[in-house]
Formats: sequence, structure tokens, C-alpha cells
Amino acid sequence: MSVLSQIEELLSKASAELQSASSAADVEQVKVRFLGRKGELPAILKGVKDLAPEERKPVGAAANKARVSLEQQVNERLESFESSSSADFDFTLPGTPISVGRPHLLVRTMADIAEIFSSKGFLVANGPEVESDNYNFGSLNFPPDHPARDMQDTFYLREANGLPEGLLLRTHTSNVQVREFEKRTPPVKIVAPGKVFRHEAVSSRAYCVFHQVEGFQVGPNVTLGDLKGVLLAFCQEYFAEDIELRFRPSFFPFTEPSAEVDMSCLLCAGKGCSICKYDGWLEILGCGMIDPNVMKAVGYDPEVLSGYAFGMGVERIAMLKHRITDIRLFYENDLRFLRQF
Amino acid sequence: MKISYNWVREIAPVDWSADEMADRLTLAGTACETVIDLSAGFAKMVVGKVETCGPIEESDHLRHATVNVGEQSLNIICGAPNVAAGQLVAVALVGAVMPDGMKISRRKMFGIESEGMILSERELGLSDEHEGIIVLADGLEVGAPLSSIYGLNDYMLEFELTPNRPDSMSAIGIARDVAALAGCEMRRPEVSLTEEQEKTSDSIEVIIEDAEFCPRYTARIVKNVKIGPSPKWLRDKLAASGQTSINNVVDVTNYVMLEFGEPLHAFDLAQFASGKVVIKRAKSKEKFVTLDEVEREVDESVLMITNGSESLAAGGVMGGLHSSVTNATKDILLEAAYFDASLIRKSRRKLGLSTDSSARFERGVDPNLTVTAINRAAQLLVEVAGGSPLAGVVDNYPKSIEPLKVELRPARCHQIMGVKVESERIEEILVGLEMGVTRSDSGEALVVTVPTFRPDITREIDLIEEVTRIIGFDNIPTTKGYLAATDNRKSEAVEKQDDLVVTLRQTLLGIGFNEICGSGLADGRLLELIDPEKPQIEVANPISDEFGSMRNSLAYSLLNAARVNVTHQTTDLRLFELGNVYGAGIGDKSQAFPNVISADHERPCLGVLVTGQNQPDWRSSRSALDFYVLKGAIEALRAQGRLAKILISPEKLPVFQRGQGFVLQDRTGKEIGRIGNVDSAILKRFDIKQSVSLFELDVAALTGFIQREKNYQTLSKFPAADRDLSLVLNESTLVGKMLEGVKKVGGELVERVQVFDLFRGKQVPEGKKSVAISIRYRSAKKSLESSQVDGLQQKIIVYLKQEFKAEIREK
Repeated sequence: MSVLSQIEELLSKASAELQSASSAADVEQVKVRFLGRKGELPAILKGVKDLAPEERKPVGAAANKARVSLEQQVNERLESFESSSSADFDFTLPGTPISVGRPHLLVRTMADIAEIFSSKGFLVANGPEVESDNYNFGSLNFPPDHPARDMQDTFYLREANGLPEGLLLRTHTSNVQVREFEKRTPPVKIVAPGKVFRHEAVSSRAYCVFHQVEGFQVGPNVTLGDLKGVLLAFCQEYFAEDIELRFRPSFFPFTEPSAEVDMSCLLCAGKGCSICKYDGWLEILGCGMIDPNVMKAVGYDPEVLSGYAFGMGVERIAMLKHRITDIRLFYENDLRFLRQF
Repeated sequence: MKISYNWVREIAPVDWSADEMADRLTLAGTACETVIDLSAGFAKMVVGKVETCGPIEESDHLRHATVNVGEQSLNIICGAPNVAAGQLVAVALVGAVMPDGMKISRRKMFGIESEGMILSERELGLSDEHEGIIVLADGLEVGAPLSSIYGLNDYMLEFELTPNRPDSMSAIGIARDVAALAGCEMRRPEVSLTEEQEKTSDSIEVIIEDAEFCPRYTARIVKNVKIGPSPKWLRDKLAASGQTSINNVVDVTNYVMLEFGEPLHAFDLAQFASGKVVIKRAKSKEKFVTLDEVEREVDESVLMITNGSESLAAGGVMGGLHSSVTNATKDILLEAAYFDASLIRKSRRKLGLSTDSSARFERGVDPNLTVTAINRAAQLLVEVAGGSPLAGVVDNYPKSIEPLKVELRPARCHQIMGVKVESERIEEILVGLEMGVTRSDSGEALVVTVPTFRPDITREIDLIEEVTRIIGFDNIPTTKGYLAATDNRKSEAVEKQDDLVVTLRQTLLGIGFNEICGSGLADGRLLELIDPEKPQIEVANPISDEFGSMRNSLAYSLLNAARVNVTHQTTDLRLFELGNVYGAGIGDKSQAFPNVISADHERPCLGVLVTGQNQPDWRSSRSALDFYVLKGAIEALRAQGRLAKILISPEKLPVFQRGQGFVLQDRTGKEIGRIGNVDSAILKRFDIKQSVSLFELDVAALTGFIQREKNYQTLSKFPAADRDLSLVLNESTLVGKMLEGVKKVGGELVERVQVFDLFRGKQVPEGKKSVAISIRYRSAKKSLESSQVDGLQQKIIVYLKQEFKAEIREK
């Protein structure tokens, strides 16, 4: 039998065996037997070197062709077994539940706000919640017995169980201003997120506890224009790029001039809707230039330095952003609420 | 404060609409919150002309009129006897709403459809007259809105004024801002008076016992007044400024207060038979009946206006019932005073009363306005009550309060605002606000004379604020000085703690725990149940018991959150909170990092709670969310936070079930937290009917657990050998101790030991438990021979038999 016909015979035998193979393992066996290192086809090829030079070329070509054909057939058969073994693979079954927790919306909101200011070079600082009258009011230019104190209804703490007299729960995060000023030399740029307390009746719009983010900058040439700039940059980054701000002059004892800031309504862009109560504006924060008395109280020279401060309510911002209608939801900690965000 | 829009425009003549005025004032810091259209009450009411009027056959008193209301004629059925053709009448059209809320609609009676209503005075709320309809004067335009005749064709401006602006609590004050914004001249009312020969000072003497708190007291007498209703113009202005008309005398005092911002009081002169007005502090526990007919107890914090023996008014707050003006009053003593602001604040707190008068005094009125205001009141009393003012006033003003001079440097103004405002413009603004401006000697500063109606302005910065608000924030360009670099280094300890908090939070979120946020305020009774020994910080003025204390553990907040969720059938919970707990002196000062965390009475803590189960899915079964999940979480936190070992040691803690509570400690035995299964009596108080486990860790202390960054350790190139071992142990044997022993005996070749099964029951004798462990052996230096592994395994088995009385189960 010529070598060529040997090859042909081997090819048809292998094809028949591949067709009758009943599993992927059978196919693999056939593959090894005919194509493997010690297989039948390589054995034939080993003999090629003993042939006459003119015979070598056609035999080599035929053997190569047979190898390619067999490899193709092997792959086809393997694929056919693979697809039939996938018949019981249901890709629509639910994925294995992997528990992932959610951050509390207020914590996330504060972190998002702080992150924007961090990116502009503000340091994130904290201050105490149990505070003295001096840090919460006195050094912030609230004179004793001044009507300004009525603006912030205060929880006072009982001198008992080892607690000294004269302490209260801070009514704003502005206490961080004085505490940081005492520690640092200007220029400073700081944001201070945290919990604050007000003696207020609990309702869907008000709670006796809420969170604020205080921010301030003090340096040689800090201006009202810079204050406007930083707040606009923040609101555009946090809410939407086309946000506009409106500054209404107001009064806070620790800043002068002071303003309350309104943001063009997120929903109607100033045209008027139920969210902004048909005003087109949403009240979003309070701000102003740090009062010289506050500077003096910490030994900063207001002739050389100037600064601004602002404070925003975290609950209010989260409520606006997510259209939440009841502030109490934040403190009930019902997972059906918390896991929405 | 409420004030009439028309009134403001009389003083500051501008052509702004009420809405525009409100907006411009608001953007200048005089916040006008609402504008109420007072003509709105006469909507759909017009002047009509009765064209025909005849009886209706079937009715004995109703009449059928046709009324021209301008563009059409209406059929109206009317019951009034005085309707007649040719009259001009007031007509409510279909859709009009009457003051009592009744809506006018079409009504069919006796085959005639009535398309409106002809009005009587009572129906309009103008008087009690209801016998006949209103017949209007000839010459009115048919179809004209009724508001043009009756209405307060006016708007009520409602202000939310900040406490620093007493000057704006009057029509003149608001008009001053309007004039400054519009750049127009103000038209103040002219005060002129024809007086009697008799002098006020002949009848009355004013004695101030406490000049510190009453720096000025001005009195004037007006005799022979006739008490009666006020004329319409006066009633309308008061109504449009939110004041109810009482009688002409009281109305005049209110009018002048609203006009000038100077509260006035009118006494019945008959009360001052002594000839003396004596201003003095009240006696302690003195009883006084105020005008609102309530007897109140007063003390030294209240200044009383007396006749020497009897208290007649609580100065600056409210008059007394017995000295008030009555219908029998003939002669009047008018008071215009200046009281100390902080005293009035104390007085009104003591009295529990906040009045228009106290609101002005406690913010600060103009001490130099008393004479103008009292003369204005006398002038109006002549006009509306026919009074005869005696000559002059008695003005006790021992120490005159002079206007302040404050320097303003335009350069400083530039420095604060960030935009240059020319000094001429600054001057113009301040003069517009009725301040006096001259140049300083050097010419660099403006010397500003601040009128005494602006007690809030004492410094340069206060003047800069005035300039800013009149120019408007909108006209200040935004700049980017906020990008200036600063040194933001934190102390190492603060940095460490901040980073740790982030790591703890991220790790817990990553392994399936949900973050909660408690309020910090807590119910002291429940705190005491959880930690009977731990002192609480108590709120002196709580809004309720529920918020009466500060939480001294996170367990309280976690259990509250668990209660809420379990109540709503969310029974499988993994919760945590990173937040402060509070207690006297518990702050971090004495810790490893002195002076870092400046809080003295609070500490940052981590609390974690689990309850319920991991729900099964289609290929895994349920497993409990319990104590062991918490232990696993602590290990995860340690790994992520690079924390040193946390020891656990049994301790009797009231919050936990007996025998299932433990303290968490550092290597030296210092307590840094607690872990355990919550006591069932406590769970009951939180309405939780399933077992709950929790742990708490002191984050500040945990900062001390952070280990140094590790050096790289080479990886073994050699294969590991795993051997399983099935043991039967006594129930009392602690598996943790057994595992530690295995590691110790196995030495460095034991890479890890794991428990992969634990059971009790049929195949296991009573009082025993079956534990299966897997040991992985590996050497860093060579491939272990199986004989060597078997030898080690045997050594461990011998050890377990000896040390733990373990029986080895055959496979």
C-alpha cells in the first residue's frame, strides 16, 4: 500500500471514529490516538524521510492536509458536545446574593459635600457637640441676652453626674471656626461637617437634631467675591452646572456682611413649581464675611486678615436632591428608606 | 412686621408695584416674605345701576331687579325694601366670595334666574346695617370694581426682619430703605400742633428711679378727648398694617408706633391723681393684671410705670388693665419712652408676653424720637378725637444719647467686597440712609454720623454692610480667591483616627452592614436599663423624656433602629453606626494623643448589631445572623484596619444575657468595648421578639491598635499538605483554646487550622460535641515528606487526647 493510500485510509478511519464518539472524552482519545505525539499520523510522517526525494513532497502535502482536516473535525465534535452539555445551564437563575451595605444618606451627603471642598484644598475638621457657651455663642459675637440668641433655640445641659456647669449642645458647626482658629495660623481653608441640636418641636419639616457643613477661609485678601465664587462653584458641582445663586442680605452675629443664599430651583429652573413653592428659588445656605470681633477673639488681626464663612443644612440638601418630604425618616433608620440611596 | 404698601409709598414716592417693592427690599436685606392683595376680598364685586325694579307676584317681599353692571344687564332677586330704579348699588357677581365664605351662584326662584346679589353693608362686613342695601353716591362709573370704593385698595407687606434692624420696624423705616434704593427724597409727615395755655408740666412730674434702664421718659397731656371709632383712613391704614382698630385713642398710639417705630402708651390721666409718673422696678412677687386681663407675677426684672403707689403699666411691654383708656376717659397722658433693650427682653420673658412694643424696645428704638412721636400723636388726637393738648411735654432725659461718629475707609470697603466702590457712591448710599458724611482730615476716610435709630451700626464693618446691601450682592463679581493654597496638615493622631473611621465604614459596608444614624438624644430610662451604672448627660430643657438625655452607648441607637425595622417585618438585620457617645469627661484628652480631639465629653464609637438570618437562596441554606457573624466582622475590621489582636473575655454586663456577654480588651487587659447577646428583658422593652447580638468598640482607643506597615514575607515555593481531623470533645472544652494549642504544638510548619464542622446529636454521646478541623502544613524551605506530615499530625493527636480528652473519630 502506498504511503498516500495509507494516509487516506487513516483519515477515513479516524473520521468514522470521531463520528461515532459519544462523549468529549472519546473525541480526546481519538485525537491522541491519531494526532498525538506517538499517534498514527506522526508515525507515517516519520517514514517520509526514507522515501525517494520526488515522493516526499506529495506525501508531505497529503499528510499535512489530513492533519488539518482531522484537527478541524476534532474541534467540531468537541464543540458539539460542549453545546449539548450546556442544555441545563439556565443563565436566568438569580445571581448568588452578595450582601453589600449602604451608607446612611446623611453620611454620604456630608462626604460628597466635603469631597468637593477637599478638591479645592479645604481641610476637613471636626468639633465637639457638647460645647461651652463661649465657643457656641460668646466668641462668635453673640452678646449675652441679645435677641440674636433667639434665632437658635438651645438645649442646655444639666450640671450633674460630673458634668461641669454652663455646657450646651452646639446649635451650629460654627464652633469649629473658633476652635480651629485657635490652633492654626492663617491662611486657613476648612470645612467642618457635623451634628447640631436645636430645641425645636419635631415635625416633618423640623427635627431637634440635624447636620450642617460649615466652611470658612481666612487669609490676607479674602473677599465677598471669593465667597460668591466658592459657593457658586460648589453648587454647580454638587447640583447642576447651570445653577444660579441669589444672595439676600441677612444677619448672623458672626458674619458681616451676611447673606442667605437661594439656588435656582432644581426642578423648574426658576419658573416656579411645587418644590420651590412657586418662587423659583430654594433657600440653601447662610454665609457672610467673618465679623472682626470673631477674629479679635482668637487673636487674628482683622486689619490684616479677612475671611468668609458659610453653613449649610445637610438634611435640607439631601431632601432637595432626593425629594424627601419628611425629615424624621433620616433618624428612624428604616432600611426600606435607607437602602433606597 | 406688617405695613401698608400705600403708606410706604406716601413717604417714599416710587412707582414700584408691591411685588417689585418686596423683591427689591428683600435683596437689600429687608426681607419682605409675603405681599397680600387687600382688594382681593372684593373680587367680582362691581358698581351696578338698577334699571328696572318690580315686585314678584308669588312673593310678598322679594323684588325683581335688572341691574346694568357695565357690559351687560343682570336679573337679580332682592329682598331689600329700598331698592329702586336709577340707584347705583354694590353688586356681587356670580363667583364672588362673601366675607363669611358664602359663594354667589346662579339661583332660580319663582321662574326667574338670579344672577348675582345686591349688597348691604353687613354682607360686606362694613357694619351691622342690614335693613337695606347700600345706595352708592351718584357719579360712580357703572361696572367699576367695588374695591376702588370700599377696598383697601392696598397691599399688606409682611416682613421677616432680622434682629439687628430695629430701624426698619416702621413705615418710615421701610420707606427709608426704599428711598435709598430708588434714590428719591423722603416725605415725612409734618408735625405741627396748636396747644392750650396750660402746661403739661403743671399737671405732671416724671420721676425716673432707675435711669440705667429708662434713660428717657417723655409725657404729654391731651385733655377732653372724645373716645369713639376711628375715621376710615385711620382704620384702613391700620388694617393694611395688620392692626385691629380699637378706638380712636388707642388707634392713634398704634398708628404713630407703626409710622415712626416708637411705641407709645396712652393712660387715663385720672390714674395719675398724684401728679407723678414714677418709673421703678417691680417688687419681687408683685402681682399685676395686664391689659389682656391676665394676672401675672412680676419681679425686679420688670420696670413698672406707676403713679407713685400703684403700678399702671409694665414698661415697654404692656399696659395695665386698670389704667387703660375706657369710653369714660376724658383726659389722656401719653407716654413716649426709651427703655434699655436687654431689660425689656428680660421683662417680656418674665411676663411671658411678646408685644409690638416689646419687639421694638428689645431690638432698640431711637432715644431721640420721643418728642416727635408724642407730638405727632397729640396732633392726631386733635384731628380724630377732638382733644386739647396742653403746652409742651415733660421730658426726663438726664443723659442725652448722641449720634455716633464712625470712620469708613473706602479702601477697606474694597478689601472686604472685592470690588472697588467710588467714595462718592459710598457717600451717596450713606446719605440716602440718612447718615451724615464728612471727610476725615487726611481725606482718606469718610466720617459718618450714625443716627440714633441705627443702634446696630457702631463699627466700620457695619457701614460696609450697609454699602453692600444697597449696592446688592448681585453687583459684586464672583472671584476665585478660594483656590489660594493653605497648609492643611493634620496632626498625626487626627489623621490616624479619620483614616480609621473611613476604613471601618468601608469595610462594614463591603461585608453587608447597613449604616444607621441615631440622633444622639436618648430616653434616659432606656439608657439606664442598658447601663444602670453608667452616668448620663442630661438635657436641662428637653422637649420630651424621649429626648431627655444624651446616649451613653450606641447599643441604644442600634436597638431603636432594630425595633423600627422588626416592626415593619424587616427581621434580618446587619446594622452599624459610627458616632459619638456622651458622658462627663469621657473625651480623649487623657489618652495616647493629648489635646488632639478637643471634645471633653464625647467619644467616637463603633456599634454593630445583627439579628435574624441570612436568607437562603436556591443553592445555600439559611444561617443565623448572630454572635459568630460579629466575631467574623471584627476579624474583617482587624484585617482591613491593620489592627492588633482584640481579646475577648467573659464579664457580667447587664445589657447581655447572663453568660453571653464579654468585654473586648487590648493586650494589657484594658477595656475597649463589649460584645454579646442582648438580654431578653431589654429586648422586650424595645419590642423585639427575636435574639439580637451586638458589639461596641471605642474608636479613639482602637486608633492605638493600628500596627505599623508590614514588611514583605517571601512566599513558599513548596506544596502544602492538608489533613483533616474529627474530634469528640467535652461540651465544656473551648474550641478556641484547642485551636491555639494545635498551632502551638504544630509549630511553624502549621500554616493554618480551620474548623469546618461542629455538631451534636445522635452520633455524639450526651455532653459531648463533635468538631472537625482541617490543618494545612507547609514548609518555606522544602517539600514536606508525607511521613513528616503524618508524624506532626500524630503529635497533635496525642496532644489533643492528653490536653483536651479528645477522642479521635474514624472517618
